[in-house]
Amino acid sequence: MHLILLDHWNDLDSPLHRLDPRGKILATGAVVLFLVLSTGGLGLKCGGVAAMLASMIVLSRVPLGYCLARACLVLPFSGLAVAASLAGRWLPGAYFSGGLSPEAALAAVAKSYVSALAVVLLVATTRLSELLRGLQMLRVPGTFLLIVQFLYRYLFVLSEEAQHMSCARRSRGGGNWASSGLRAAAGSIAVLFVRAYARAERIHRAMLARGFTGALPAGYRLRWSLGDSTLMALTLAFLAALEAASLFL
Amino acid sequence: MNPVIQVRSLRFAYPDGTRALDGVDVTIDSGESVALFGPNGSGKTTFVLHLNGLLAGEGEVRICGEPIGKRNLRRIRQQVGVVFQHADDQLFMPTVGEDVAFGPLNLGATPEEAQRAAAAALNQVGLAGMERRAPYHLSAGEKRRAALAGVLAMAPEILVLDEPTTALDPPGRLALIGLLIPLRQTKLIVTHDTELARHVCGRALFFEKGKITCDGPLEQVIDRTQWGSAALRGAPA
Repeated sequence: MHLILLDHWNDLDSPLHRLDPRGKILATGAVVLFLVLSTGGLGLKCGGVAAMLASMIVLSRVPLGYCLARACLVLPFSGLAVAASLAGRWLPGAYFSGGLSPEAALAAVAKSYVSALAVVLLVATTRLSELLRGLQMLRVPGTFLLIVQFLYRYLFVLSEEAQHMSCARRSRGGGNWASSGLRAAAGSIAVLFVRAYARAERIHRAMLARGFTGALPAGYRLRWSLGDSTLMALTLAFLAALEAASLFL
Repeated sequence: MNPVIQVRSLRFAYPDGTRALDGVDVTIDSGESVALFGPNGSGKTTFVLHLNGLLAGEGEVRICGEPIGKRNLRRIRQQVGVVFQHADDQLFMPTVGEDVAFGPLNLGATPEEAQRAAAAALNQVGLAGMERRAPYHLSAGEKRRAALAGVLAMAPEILVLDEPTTALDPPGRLALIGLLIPLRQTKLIVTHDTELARHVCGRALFFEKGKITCDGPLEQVIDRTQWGSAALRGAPA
Protein backbone atom coordinates (compact mmCIF):
# COMPACT_ATOMS: atom_id res chain seq x y z
CA MET A 1 0.00 0.00 0.00
CA HIS A 2 1.23 3.49 -0.80
CA LEU A 3 1.14 5.79 2.16
CA ILE A 4 2.11 9.44 2.30
CA LEU A 5 4.39 9.63 5.30
CA LEU A 6 4.04 13.07 6.83
CA ASP A 7 6.47 12.51 9.69
CA HIS A 8 9.44 11.34 7.67
CA TRP A 9 11.85 14.07 8.83
CA ASN A 10 10.64 14.45 12.43
CA ASP A 11 13.31 12.21 13.90
CA LEU A 12 16.32 14.20 12.66
CA ASP A 13 18.42 15.87 15.32
CA SER A 14 18.97 19.59 14.65
CA PRO A 15 18.71 22.83 16.65
CA LEU A 16 15.30 23.46 15.06
CA HIS A 17 14.01 19.97 15.93
CA ARG A 18 15.02 20.48 19.56
CA LEU A 19 13.13 23.77 20.01
CA ASP A 20 9.88 24.10 21.96
CA PRO A 21 6.93 23.73 19.56
CA ARG A 22 5.33 26.92 20.90
CA GLY A 23 8.27 29.02 19.70
CA LYS A 24 8.15 27.44 16.26
CA ILE A 25 4.36 27.85 16.01
CA LEU A 26 4.53 31.52 17.04
CA ALA A 27 7.44 32.25 14.67
CA THR A 28 5.58 30.55 11.79
CA GLY A 29 2.43 32.50 12.67
CA ALA A 30 4.43 35.75 12.63
CA VAL A 31 5.87 34.96 9.20
CA VAL A 32 2.46 34.10 7.72
CA LEU A 33 0.83 37.18 9.27
CA PHE A 34 3.63 39.40 7.99
CA LEU A 35 3.17 38.11 4.44
CA VAL A 36 -0.62 38.30 4.54
CA LEU A 37 -0.66 41.90 5.81
CA SER A 38 2.13 43.16 3.52
CA THR A 39 1.08 45.41 0.66
CA GLY A 40 4.20 47.11 -0.78
CA GLY A 41 7.65 45.83 -1.68
CA LEU A 42 6.40 42.29 -1.99
CA GLY A 43 9.30 41.11 -4.13
CA LEU A 44 11.77 42.06 -1.42
CA LYS A 45 9.59 40.72 1.41
CA CYS A 46 8.76 37.39 -0.20
CA GLY A 47 12.34 36.94 -1.36
CA GLY A 48 13.73 37.88 2.05
CA VAL A 49 11.41 35.55 3.95
CA ALA A 50 12.06 32.73 1.44
CA ALA A 51 15.84 33.20 1.94
CA MET A 52 15.39 33.12 5.73
CA LEU A 53 13.29 29.94 5.50
CA ALA A 54 15.81 28.33 3.12
CA SER A 55 18.63 28.96 5.60
CA MET A 56 16.51 27.46 8.40
CA ILE A 57 15.72 24.43 6.26
CA VAL A 58 19.45 23.91 5.67
CA LEU A 59 20.03 24.29 9.44
CA SER A 60 17.30 21.71 10.15
CA ARG A 61 18.93 19.17 7.75
CA VAL A 62 15.56 18.52 6.08
CA PRO A 63 16.20 18.32 2.30
CA LEU A 64 15.49 21.69 0.69
CA GLY A 65 14.04 20.05 -2.43
CA TYR A 66 11.49 18.17 -0.29
CA CYS A 67 10.28 21.38 1.35
CA LEU A 68 10.15 23.33 -1.92
CA ALA A 69 8.19 20.53 -3.60
CA ARG A 70 5.83 20.02 -0.65
CA ALA A 71 5.01 23.74 -0.53
CA CYS A 72 3.80 23.49 -4.15
CA LEU A 73 0.68 21.76 -2.79
CA VAL A 74 -0.77 25.19 -2.11
CA LEU A 75 -0.35 26.42 -5.69
CA PRO A 76 -3.49 24.85 -7.23
CA PHE A 77 -5.63 26.55 -4.59
CA SER A 78 -4.04 30.00 -4.71
CA GLY A 79 -3.69 29.66 -8.49
CA LEU A 80 -7.42 29.00 -8.85
CA ALA A 81 -8.32 32.01 -6.70
CA VAL A 82 -5.95 34.22 -8.69
CA ALA A 83 -7.27 32.88 -12.03
CA ALA A 84 -10.84 33.67 -10.97
CA SER A 85 -9.79 37.16 -9.98
CA LEU A 86 -7.96 37.74 -13.27
CA ALA A 87 -11.01 36.49 -15.14
CA GLY A 88 -13.08 39.15 -13.37
CA ARG A 89 -10.70 41.78 -14.68
CA TRP A 90 -10.35 40.62 -18.28
CA LEU A 91 -13.52 38.83 -19.31
CA PRO A 92 -16.39 41.11 -20.35
CA GLY A 93 -19.55 40.52 -18.30
CA ALA A 94 -17.79 38.05 -15.98
CA TYR A 95 -19.40 37.18 -12.68
CA PHE A 96 -16.40 38.40 -10.66
CA SER A 97 -15.59 42.08 -10.84
CA GLY A 98 -12.82 44.29 -9.50
CA GLY A 99 -10.14 41.61 -9.98
CA LEU A 100 -6.41 41.78 -9.20
CA SER A 101 -3.80 43.31 -11.47
CA PRO A 102 -1.34 40.76 -12.92
CA GLU A 103 1.37 42.01 -10.51
CA ALA A 104 -0.91 41.67 -7.47
CA ALA A 105 -1.98 38.21 -8.65
CA LEU A 106 1.63 37.10 -8.93
CA ALA A 107 2.32 38.54 -5.47
CA ALA A 108 -0.65 36.64 -4.02
CA VAL A 109 0.69 33.35 -5.44
CA ALA A 110 4.18 34.14 -4.10
CA LYS A 111 2.79 34.99 -0.64
CA SER A 112 0.83 31.74 -0.47
CA TYR A 113 3.84 29.70 -1.59
CA VAL A 114 6.26 31.23 0.93
CA SER A 115 3.66 30.89 3.72
CA ALA A 116 3.23 27.22 2.81
CA LEU A 117 7.03 26.82 2.90
CA ALA A 118 7.04 28.13 6.48
CA VAL A 119 4.32 25.66 7.47
CA VAL A 120 6.15 22.76 5.78
CA LEU A 121 9.28 23.63 7.76
CA LEU A 122 7.26 23.69 10.99
CA VAL A 123 5.65 20.31 10.29
CA ALA A 124 8.90 18.71 9.14
CA THR A 125 10.76 19.72 12.31
CA THR A 126 8.00 19.07 14.88
CA ARG A 127 6.40 15.76 15.79
CA LEU A 128 2.62 15.86 15.58
CA SER A 129 2.19 15.17 19.29
CA GLU A 130 4.53 18.07 20.15
CA LEU A 131 2.72 20.30 17.68
CA LEU A 132 -0.64 19.46 19.24
CA ARG A 133 0.73 19.94 22.74
CA GLY A 134 2.15 23.33 21.71
CA LEU A 135 -1.18 24.37 20.18
CA GLN A 136 -2.99 23.13 23.29
CA MET A 137 -0.79 25.33 25.47
CA LEU A 138 -1.44 28.25 23.13
CA ARG A 139 -5.15 27.83 23.96
CA VAL A 140 -6.32 26.30 20.67
CA PRO A 141 -9.67 24.52 21.39
CA GLY A 142 -9.20 20.88 22.45
CA THR A 143 -11.95 19.57 20.18
CA PHE A 144 -10.20 20.98 17.13
CA LEU A 145 -6.93 19.34 18.22
CA LEU A 146 -8.66 15.99 18.74
CA ILE A 147 -10.08 16.21 15.22
CA VAL A 148 -6.61 16.95 13.80
CA GLN A 149 -5.07 14.08 15.75
CA PHE A 150 -7.66 11.54 14.65
CA LEU A 151 -7.56 12.77 11.07
CA TYR A 152 -3.80 12.22 11.03
CA ARG A 153 -3.98 8.82 12.77
CA TYR A 154 -6.82 7.35 10.72
CA LEU A 155 -6.14 8.95 7.35
CA PHE A 156 -3.88 6.01 6.54
CA VAL A 157 -6.31 3.41 7.87
CA LEU A 158 -9.19 4.84 5.82
CA SER A 159 -6.98 5.24 2.78
CA GLU A 160 -6.06 1.53 3.06
CA GLU A 161 -9.74 0.64 3.36
CA ALA A 162 -10.49 2.67 0.23
CA GLN A 163 -7.68 0.85 -1.58
CA HIS A 164 -9.06 -2.55 -0.44
CA MET A 165 -12.50 -1.60 -1.75
CA SER A 166 -11.01 -0.45 -5.03
CA CYS A 167 -9.08 -3.77 -5.29
CA ALA A 168 -12.26 -5.77 -4.57
CA ARG A 169 -14.17 -3.87 -7.25
CA ARG A 170 -11.45 -4.30 -9.86
CA SER A 171 -11.01 -8.00 -9.05
CA ARG A 172 -14.67 -8.52 -9.92
CA GLY A 173 -14.32 -6.83 -13.30
CA GLY A 174 -15.05 -3.25 -12.25
CA GLY A 175 -12.83 -0.45 -13.53
CA ASN A 176 -11.31 2.35 -11.51
CA TRP A 177 -13.56 4.99 -9.98
CA ALA A 178 -13.27 7.29 -12.97
CA SER A 179 -14.36 4.62 -15.47
CA SER A 180 -17.03 3.06 -13.23
CA GLY A 181 -18.94 6.31 -13.19
CA LEU A 182 -20.16 8.70 -10.57
CA ARG A 183 -22.74 6.27 -9.17
CA ALA A 184 -20.13 3.63 -8.29
CA ALA A 185 -17.81 6.24 -6.81
CA ALA A 186 -20.63 7.71 -4.72
CA GLY A 187 -21.54 4.21 -3.47
CA SER A 188 -17.95 3.52 -2.44
CA ILE A 189 -17.67 6.86 -0.65
CA ALA A 190 -20.94 6.19 1.20
CA VAL A 191 -19.70 2.76 2.34
CA LEU A 192 -16.40 4.31 3.44
CA PHE A 193 -18.29 6.95 5.42
CA VAL A 194 -20.42 4.34 7.20
CA ARG A 195 -17.31 2.30 8.04
CA ALA A 196 -15.55 5.42 9.34
CA TYR A 197 -18.59 6.20 11.50
CA ALA A 198 -18.67 2.67 12.95
CA ARG A 199 -14.93 2.86 13.60
CA ALA A 200 -15.37 6.20 15.39
CA GLU A 201 -17.87 4.52 17.73
CA ARG A 202 -15.39 1.73 18.49
CA ILE A 203 -12.52 4.16 19.06
CA HIS A 204 -14.63 6.20 21.47
CA ARG A 205 -15.48 3.04 23.36
CA ALA A 206 -11.78 2.10 23.55
CA MET A 207 -10.96 5.58 24.85
CA LEU A 208 -13.64 5.40 27.54
CA ALA A 209 -12.35 1.98 28.58
CA ARG A 210 -9.02 3.61 29.40
CA GLY A 211 -10.48 6.41 31.48
CA PHE A 212 -11.01 9.14 28.84
CA THR A 213 -13.04 12.01 30.29
CA GLY A 214 -13.32 14.33 27.29
CA ALA A 215 -9.90 16.03 27.18
CA LEU A 216 -6.59 14.68 25.97
CA PRO A 217 -4.18 14.29 28.90
CA ALA A 218 -0.86 16.12 28.68
CA GLY A 219 1.73 13.45 27.93
CA TYR A 220 4.83 15.52 28.67
CA ARG A 221 5.97 18.91 29.85
CA LEU A 222 7.22 21.58 27.45
CA ARG A 223 10.15 23.78 28.43
CA TRP A 224 10.70 27.23 26.93
CA SER A 225 14.45 27.78 26.59
CA LEU A 226 16.78 30.57 25.57
CA GLY A 227 16.86 29.04 22.08
CA ASP A 228 13.11 29.56 21.71
CA SER A 229 13.34 33.21 22.77
CA THR A 230 16.25 33.68 20.36
CA LEU A 231 14.26 32.18 17.47
CA MET A 232 11.31 34.47 18.19
CA ALA A 233 13.52 37.54 18.56
CA LEU A 234 15.52 36.85 15.38
CA THR A 235 12.38 36.16 13.34
CA LEU A 236 10.65 39.34 14.50
CA ALA A 237 13.82 41.42 14.02
CA PHE A 238 14.28 40.05 10.51
CA LEU A 239 10.65 40.78 9.58
CA ALA A 240 10.94 44.32 11.00
CA ALA A 241 14.15 44.86 9.00
CA LEU A 242 12.40 43.70 5.82
CA GLU A 243 9.51 46.07 6.47
CA ALA A 244 11.94 48.96 7.06
CA ALA A 245 13.97 48.12 3.95
CA SER A 246 10.85 48.01 1.81
CA LEU A 247 9.96 51.55 2.94
CA PHE A 248 13.32 52.95 1.87
CA LEU A 249 13.88 51.02 -1.38
CA MET B 1 -12.26 -18.36 46.87
CA ASN B 2 -12.20 -14.63 46.23
CA PRO B 3 -14.80 -13.61 43.63
CA VAL B 4 -13.71 -10.63 41.50
CA ILE B 5 -16.64 -10.71 39.07
CA GLN B 6 -20.20 -11.39 40.21
CA VAL B 7 -22.98 -11.05 37.67
CA ARG B 8 -26.65 -11.64 38.53
CA SER B 9 -29.63 -11.73 36.13
CA LEU B 10 -27.93 -9.46 33.60
CA ARG B 11 -30.18 -8.47 30.71
CA PHE B 12 -29.45 -6.05 27.90
CA ALA B 13 -31.17 -5.02 24.68
CA TYR B 14 -29.71 -2.71 22.03
CA PRO B 15 -31.73 0.37 21.01
CA ASP B 16 -33.01 -1.45 17.89
CA GLY B 17 -34.66 -4.03 20.19
CA THR B 18 -32.12 -6.84 19.71
CA ARG B 19 -31.91 -8.71 23.01
CA ALA B 20 -28.20 -9.43 23.43
CA LEU B 21 -28.19 -10.68 27.03
CA ASP B 22 -31.10 -12.54 28.51
CA GLY B 23 -30.33 -13.34 32.14
CA VAL B 24 -26.63 -14.00 32.65
CA ASP B 25 -25.46 -15.33 36.03
CA VAL B 26 -21.80 -16.03 36.67
CA THR B 27 -19.12 -15.69 39.33
CA ILE B 28 -15.41 -15.60 38.50
CA ASP B 29 -12.71 -15.92 41.14
CA SER B 30 -9.44 -14.04 41.37
CA GLY B 31 -6.68 -15.56 39.22
CA GLU B 32 -9.02 -17.65 37.04
CA SER B 33 -8.54 -17.72 33.27
CA VAL B 34 -11.88 -18.16 31.54
CA ALA B 35 -12.61 -18.63 27.83
CA LEU B 36 -15.90 -17.28 26.48
CA PHE B 37 -17.13 -19.42 23.60
CA GLY B 38 -20.29 -19.24 21.55
CA PRO B 39 -21.66 -18.47 18.09
CA ASN B 40 -21.38 -15.00 16.57
CA GLY B 41 -24.05 -12.73 18.02
CA SER B 42 -24.54 -14.85 21.13
CA GLY B 43 -23.75 -11.96 23.51
CA LYS B 44 -20.10 -12.58 24.48
CA THR B 45 -18.78 -9.12 23.56
CA THR B 46 -21.87 -7.40 24.94
CA PHE B 47 -21.29 -9.26 28.21
CA VAL B 48 -17.66 -8.17 28.58
CA LEU B 49 -18.55 -4.55 27.78
CA HIS B 50 -20.69 -4.60 30.94
CA LEU B 51 -17.68 -5.49 33.07
CA ASN B 52 -16.16 -2.01 32.95
CA GLY B 53 -19.36 -0.03 32.58
CA LEU B 54 -19.19 0.62 28.83
CA LEU B 55 -22.70 -0.82 28.65
CA ALA B 56 -25.22 -0.88 31.46
CA GLY B 57 -28.10 -3.37 31.38
CA GLU B 58 -30.62 -4.59 33.95
CA GLY B 59 -29.34 -6.81 36.73
CA GLU B 60 -26.26 -6.60 38.88
CA VAL B 61 -22.56 -6.53 38.02
CA ARG B 62 -20.05 -6.41 40.89
CA ILE B 63 -16.33 -5.96 40.36
CA CYS B 64 -14.16 -6.85 43.38
CA GLY B 65 -17.34 -6.77 45.47
CA GLU B 66 -18.48 -3.31 44.35
CA PRO B 67 -21.49 -2.67 42.11
CA ILE B 68 -20.62 -0.57 39.04
CA GLY B 69 -21.90 3.00 39.23
CA LYS B 70 -21.00 6.46 37.99
CA ARG B 71 -19.24 7.16 41.28
CA ASN B 72 -16.66 4.39 40.92
CA LEU B 73 -16.47 4.15 37.13
CA ARG B 74 -12.92 5.49 36.98
CA ARG B 75 -11.67 2.87 39.46
CA ILE B 76 -13.63 0.09 37.73
CA ARG B 77 -12.03 1.00 34.40
CA GLN B 78 -8.64 0.80 36.03
CA GLN B 79 -9.49 -2.60 37.54
CA VAL B 80 -10.93 -4.10 34.35
CA GLY B 81 -8.69 -3.65 31.32
CA VAL B 82 -10.29 -4.43 27.97
CA VAL B 83 -8.25 -5.25 24.86
CA PHE B 84 -10.60 -4.82 21.92
CA GLN B 85 -10.88 -6.99 18.84
CA HIS B 86 -9.49 -4.44 16.37
CA ALA B 87 -6.11 -3.19 17.56
CA ASP B 88 -6.30 -0.21 15.18
CA ASP B 89 -9.31 1.08 17.10
CA GLN B 90 -7.39 0.94 20.35
CA LEU B 91 -4.18 2.58 19.14
CA PHE B 92 -5.50 6.07 18.53
CA MET B 93 -2.58 8.23 19.67
CA PRO B 94 0.14 9.43 17.26
CA THR B 95 2.90 7.24 18.76
CA VAL B 96 3.01 3.89 20.56
CA GLY B 97 4.52 5.44 23.71
CA GLU B 98 1.81 8.10 23.95
CA ASP B 99 -0.87 5.51 23.37
CA VAL B 100 0.36 3.22 26.15
CA ALA B 101 0.72 6.23 28.47
CA PHE B 102 -2.86 7.38 27.70
CA GLY B 103 -4.50 5.22 30.40
CA PRO B 104 -2.11 6.07 33.27
CA LEU B 105 -2.41 9.79 32.43
CA ASN B 106 -6.20 9.56 32.58
CA LEU B 107 -5.85 7.90 35.98
CA GLY B 108 -3.96 10.94 37.26
CA ALA B 109 -0.32 9.89 36.78
CA THR B 110 2.25 12.63 36.08
CA PRO B 111 3.82 12.60 32.59
CA GLU B 112 7.02 11.08 34.05
CA GLU B 113 5.10 8.33 35.91
CA ALA B 114 3.03 7.59 32.81
CA GLN B 115 6.16 7.34 30.67
CA ARG B 116 7.73 4.93 33.16
CA ALA B 117 4.55 2.81 33.24
CA ALA B 118 4.43 2.82 29.43
CA ALA B 119 8.08 1.77 29.12
CA ALA B 120 7.56 -1.07 31.65
CA ALA B 121 4.39 -2.30 29.87
CA LEU B 122 6.07 -2.19 26.45
CA ASN B 123 8.99 -4.12 27.89
CA GLN B 124 6.56 -6.70 29.30
CA VAL B 125 5.03 -7.33 25.86
CA GLY B 126 8.38 -7.38 24.07
CA LEU B 127 8.13 -3.96 22.42
CA ALA B 128 10.82 -2.18 24.43
CA GLY B 129 12.19 0.88 22.65
CA MET B 130 9.21 1.28 20.31
CA GLU B 131 7.79 4.30 22.14
CA ARG B 132 8.36 6.70 19.24
CA ARG B 133 7.01 4.43 16.51
CA ALA B 134 3.75 5.40 14.82
CA PRO B 135 1.04 2.72 15.19
CA TYR B 136 0.59 2.44 11.41
CA HIS B 137 4.21 1.31 11.13
CA LEU B 138 3.56 -1.79 13.29
CA SER B 139 2.72 -5.31 12.11
CA ALA B 140 -0.60 -6.90 13.13
CA GLY B 141 1.12 -8.85 15.94
CA GLU B 142 2.95 -5.77 17.20
CA LYS B 143 -0.28 -3.76 17.15
CA ARG B 144 -1.97 -6.44 19.22
CA ARG B 145 0.88 -6.44 21.76
CA ALA B 146 0.93 -2.61 21.88
CA ALA B 147 -2.83 -2.64 22.57
CA LEU B 148 -2.22 -5.14 25.39
CA ALA B 149 0.56 -2.91 26.76
CA GLY B 150 -1.88 0.03 26.80
CA VAL B 151 -4.08 -1.95 29.16
CA LEU B 152 -1.27 -3.48 31.26
CA ALA B 153 0.12 0.03 31.90
CA MET B 154 -3.04 0.70 33.95
CA ALA B 155 -2.20 -2.26 36.22
CA PRO B 156 -5.64 -3.90 35.99
CA GLU B 157 -6.73 -6.80 38.19
CA ILE B 158 -8.93 -8.25 35.48
CA LEU B 159 -7.89 -8.57 31.85
CA VAL B 160 -10.54 -8.95 29.17
CA LEU B 161 -9.42 -9.85 25.64
CA ASP B 162 -11.89 -9.80 22.76
CA GLU B 163 -10.82 -12.14 19.94
CA PRO B 164 -7.10 -11.59 20.61
CA THR B 165 -5.85 -13.87 17.80
CA THR B 166 -7.88 -12.26 15.00
CA ALA B 167 -5.63 -11.48 11.99
CA LEU B 168 -2.54 -13.00 13.63
CA ASP B 169 -0.29 -15.40 11.74
CA PRO B 170 0.80 -18.62 13.57
CA PRO B 171 4.05 -17.13 14.96
CA GLY B 172 2.15 -14.04 16.13
CA ARG B 173 -0.48 -16.26 17.73
CA LEU B 174 2.18 -18.32 19.47
CA ALA B 175 3.92 -15.16 20.73
CA LEU B 176 0.63 -13.87 22.12
CA ILE B 177 -0.07 -17.18 23.90
CA GLY B 178 3.41 -17.03 25.43
CA LEU B 179 2.67 -13.53 26.60
CA LEU B 180 -0.71 -14.32 28.15
CA ILE B 181 0.22 -17.45 30.12
CA PRO B 182 2.47 -15.77 32.73
CA LEU B 183 0.16 -12.78 33.33
CA ARG B 184 -1.07 -12.95 36.91
CA GLN B 185 -4.36 -11.13 36.27
CA THR B 186 -7.78 -12.79 36.17
CA LYS B 187 -8.35 -13.31 32.45
CA LEU B 188 -11.52 -13.45 30.36
CA ILE B 189 -10.89 -14.29 26.72
CA VAL B 190 -13.63 -14.03 24.11
CA THR B 191 -12.47 -16.37 21.38
CA HIS B 192 -13.27 -18.94 18.73
CA ASP B 193 -9.68 -20.20 19.00
CA THR B 194 -9.91 -23.37 21.11
CA GLU B 195 -6.14 -23.94 20.90
CA LEU B 196 -5.46 -20.54 22.46
CA ALA B 197 -8.04 -21.33 25.15
CA ARG B 198 -6.43 -24.74 25.84
CA HIS B 199 -3.07 -23.06 26.45
CA VAL B 200 -4.30 -20.19 28.60
CA CYS B 201 -7.66 -21.06 30.21
CA GLY B 202 -8.84 -23.66 32.71
CA ARG B 203 -12.53 -22.81 32.58
CA ALA B 204 -14.99 -21.94 29.81
CA LEU B 205 -18.40 -20.32 29.50
CA PHE B 206 -20.57 -21.10 26.50
CA PHE B 207 -22.95 -18.37 25.34
CA GLU B 208 -26.09 -19.01 23.28
CA LYS B 209 -28.81 -16.47 22.54
CA GLY B 210 -27.72 -14.15 25.34
CA LYS B 211 -27.45 -16.85 28.02
CA ILE B 212 -24.67 -18.98 29.47
CA THR B 213 -25.75 -22.49 28.54
CA CYS B 214 -22.63 -24.30 29.69
CA ASP B 215 -20.07 -23.45 32.38
CA GLY B 216 -17.25 -25.68 33.59
CA PRO B 217 -13.74 -26.98 32.95
CA LEU B 218 -12.60 -26.08 29.44
CA GLU B 219 -12.40 -29.57 27.92
CA GLN B 220 -15.77 -30.51 29.35
CA VAL B 221 -17.41 -27.44 27.84
CA ILE B 222 -15.78 -28.11 24.45
CA ASP B 223 -16.99 -31.74 24.53
CA ARG B 224 -20.50 -30.98 25.73
CA THR B 225 -21.09 -28.16 23.24
CA GLN B 226 -19.25 -29.89 20.33
CA TRP B 227 -17.33 -26.61 19.91
CA GLY B 228 -14.00 -26.18 18.11
CA SER B 229 -12.68 -28.89 15.83
CA ALA B 230 -15.49 -31.23 16.92
CA ALA B 231 -17.93 -28.87 15.22
CA LEU B 232 -16.19 -29.53 11.89
CA ARG B 233 -16.68 -33.31 11.98
CA GLY B 234 -19.93 -32.99 10.10
CA ALA B 235 -18.34 -30.93 7.33
CA PRO B 236 -18.34 -32.40 3.79
CA ALA B 237 -15.11 -34.29 2.98
